[in-house]
Amino acid sequence: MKYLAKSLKIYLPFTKSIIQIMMTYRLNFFVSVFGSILKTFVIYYLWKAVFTNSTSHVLNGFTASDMLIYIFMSSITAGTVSNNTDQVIGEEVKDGSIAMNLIKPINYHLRLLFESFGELIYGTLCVSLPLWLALIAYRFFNIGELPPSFSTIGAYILSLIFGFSIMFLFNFIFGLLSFYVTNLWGIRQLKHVIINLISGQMIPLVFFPIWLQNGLAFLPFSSINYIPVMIYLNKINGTALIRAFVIQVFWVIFLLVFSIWLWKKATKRLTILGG
Amino acid sequence: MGTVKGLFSKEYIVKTAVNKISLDIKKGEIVGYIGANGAGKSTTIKIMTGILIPTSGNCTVNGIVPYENRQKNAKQIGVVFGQRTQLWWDLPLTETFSILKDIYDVSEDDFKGRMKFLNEVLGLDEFIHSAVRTLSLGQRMRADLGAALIHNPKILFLDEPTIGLDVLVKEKLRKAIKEINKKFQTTVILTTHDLSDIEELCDRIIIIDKGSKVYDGSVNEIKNEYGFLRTIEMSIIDIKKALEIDIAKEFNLLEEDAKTWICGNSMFVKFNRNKISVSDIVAHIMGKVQVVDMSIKETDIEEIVKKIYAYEVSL
Repeated sequence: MKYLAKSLKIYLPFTKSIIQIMMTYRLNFFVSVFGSILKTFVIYYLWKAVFTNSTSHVLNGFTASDMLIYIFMSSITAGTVSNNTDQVIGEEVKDGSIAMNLIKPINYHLRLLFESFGELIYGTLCVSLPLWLALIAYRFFNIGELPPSFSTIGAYILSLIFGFSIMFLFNFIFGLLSFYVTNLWGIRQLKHVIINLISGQMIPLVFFPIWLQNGLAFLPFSSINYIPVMIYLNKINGTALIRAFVIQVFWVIFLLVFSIWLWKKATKRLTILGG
Repeated sequence: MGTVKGLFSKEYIVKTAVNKISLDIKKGEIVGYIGANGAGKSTTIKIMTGILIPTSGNCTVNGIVPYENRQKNAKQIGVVFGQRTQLWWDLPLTETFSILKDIYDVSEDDFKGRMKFLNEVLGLDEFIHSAVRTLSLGQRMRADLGAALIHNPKILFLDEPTIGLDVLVKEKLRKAIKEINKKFQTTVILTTHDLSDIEELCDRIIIIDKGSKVYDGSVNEIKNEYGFLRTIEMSIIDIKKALEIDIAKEFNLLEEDAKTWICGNSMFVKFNRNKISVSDIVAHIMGKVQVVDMSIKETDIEEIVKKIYAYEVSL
């Protein structure tokens, strides 16, 4: 307990500093938020067109109304769990400023984790929460739909926390690639697009062909976005819910162990660029 | 073509950055660690600060192996890399100090006392509330040195702390380093290309070249041994008259102790200050021709390093 309190005292300033920095560059932040909201509406209208032109009202278990919630919750979820950890590591390796962080008595993992908490808090308070409330209000005043039960929201939030941890650890591991490739920018763009697709952010995974769905079951990405949103939609419950949590926890532990191992390996071959 | 080829294949060359360097630095010493660009200074410092892991050999800093116990070692050292900053770029300077206070677990009283002291020697108050990105290089360096000292480290590593700074700021930094060394018995390891840094601060100097140690001894010794050459440059109105002046002949000295040559409208004399004084040379020349301008250059550190290295080879 004492150790935890001490760690919090050491690492919380990193969370605070990221929030301050994001506030300094708030225009940049809100422009990018505006961009993703726009993207969400584009995806929504695409799906709307699909449903209007379809003979069936239910596609793969999704009604048009389910799909609306899926698309917006998916966007909110993605906005909440996403973080720039890989970019931070990439930049620090590229310009050599990683040296300045290694001369401080701080753990690199924890520092980045607390920095991503900064992104999480700022993004949740300024974007995710207001958008979610807007969605609830829209559904209530439009068709009189009540928000999901507390237990569903609770399960969603728990799943979201695991999703965030998986995303953070994955980005950390991905960022360590910069020790080997020096400039991460290109493959980072590729990663972004792929994760967009296979985490179910744009298309629910049940719409994919069976072989692909089976393949994706062996990867951590559905745990980032698809599982939390399906939980929110009440499409995963009972034993399936327990199983979903077990899968998420498994990925958190696996990626954590792997990231620590890779960090030790990567720092051995560290070169500080620029003197 | 090379660029295209590089897209597909890479060649690796194994280069030994530092080789067989062995040093022992005592508590409270200020050591100048010098060498030409690429000699391996920064590599050694990176090993001592725990950033790089040596492929062989060992290194202990105050009883701790830095690359095995990076975080523990980091608590007892302070580091300034002149080309980088450890300050939070987007935050006001005060924030950097309060973050560092928490990271290094500095008590409130210690923090206040040290801030006051650092403020006196580095004058941080003028810009303590500005965002770091708006600071000038000189202000940033002062702040960086302050940030490296807030936890009162036992060992201070300074990698080119005066690079790109004006004379006044340099002076301030040197004074601060001296004062800290005196007050807290802080061991200082300093790399620099500015000989005057060494002259003002260090008692001992270690020179490395191509990854190996070539000199380890006192500063006075090295100056007497290698830094005795000075060059005077004089602008002369009637350069033709100056053609006949040859200091070596007129003072009965060897050519290597006083060399005279002319280039454009200037006359140069490179001399050994142990054999002849500046005033003698200047008085002699001024007696013969009209001098409009004059400057005296010391042998700089690169030249001494070059010399020492050449000497080692000829051994």
